[in-house]
Amino acid sequence: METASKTVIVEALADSLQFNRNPVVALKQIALWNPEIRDLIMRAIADNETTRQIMEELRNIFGDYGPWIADILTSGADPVFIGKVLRDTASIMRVMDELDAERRALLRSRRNLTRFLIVILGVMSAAFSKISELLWYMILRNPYNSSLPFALIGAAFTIFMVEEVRMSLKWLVYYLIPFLLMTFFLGYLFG
Amino acid sequence: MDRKQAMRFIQLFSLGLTWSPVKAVELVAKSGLSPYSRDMRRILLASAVEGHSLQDELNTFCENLSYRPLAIAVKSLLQGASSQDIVNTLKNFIRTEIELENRELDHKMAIRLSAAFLTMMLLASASALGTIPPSLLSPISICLLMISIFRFLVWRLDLWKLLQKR
Repeated sequence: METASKTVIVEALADSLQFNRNPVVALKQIALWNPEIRDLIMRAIADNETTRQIMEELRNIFGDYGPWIADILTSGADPVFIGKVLRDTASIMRVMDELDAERRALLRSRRNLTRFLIVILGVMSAAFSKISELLWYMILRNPYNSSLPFALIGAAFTIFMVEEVRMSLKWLVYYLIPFLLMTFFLGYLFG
Repeated sequence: MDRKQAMRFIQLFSLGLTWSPVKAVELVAKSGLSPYSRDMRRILLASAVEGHSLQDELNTFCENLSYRPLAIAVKSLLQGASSQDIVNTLKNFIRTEIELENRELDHKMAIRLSAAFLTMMLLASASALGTIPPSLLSPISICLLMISIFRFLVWRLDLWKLLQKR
């Protein structure tokens, strides 16, 4: 179920509770709002389940808010007050959804930036390996293949970066492709 | 300080506060959100069994918090007159945390890229100048790779444990 409709359902629950003053009737009314929860609620009401039991069934639908909403509905407090709390809960849910979306967007942009930095790391490692080979050849007059050690150092730092943005090792591809391309290109250039 | 935990704490606390401060403390205490749930359980016990004022206990909790923005947010939530104030405080706190989280990530990335650049430059120049033999490059690089793989595996294991707990 969409998170937005979750908020709408909580608001509808608050509205119907203010009119009916009975949590079970309010739950029955909000069942009409979403076909997914209709079956659950209707079956629970047919089995004479209590509000808490119904809310237990709805726990997956309301996610983190499930136990809290169950607590409110079964508290036995004044339905008008419960309605007010539910409305405040819906406001918090809406704000949290909005902030979650913002956070996800920012994290996505940071991941894109990291991907770009990993590509740069690939190019950098290839450049260092070829430059060091050239230096060794110029200073020591002795050819030495350093591609593998620099590739491993680059891969190690790529894993450090991947770990930071909570991604899988599949991201090593973003490192390996520019590394190999650059190594071949520089190898071809320097001979 | 775990930013995610702090954000979750403020979310739960605000949610409970729409009912009452006691409910807010209860909600966090039940959440299993370490280390905050332990503190909230202690506050609940102190107010219910020892008869201390909940407000005083929460003030002490805020004063003892090492992360000051969280303490300020809890204090302003407790002083919030209406539910709109609660929502605004929650929104401001979480938005600031998200920004800080992103800035932190930027810094970490910059540090890692600089460290990679520095390591490669040092190794390339040291081996070219003869400070270290070129044959030492392979063991150093393997060592670095092992460390990073070990760290990665530890992180994945922690993540797996967290998911199992949920």
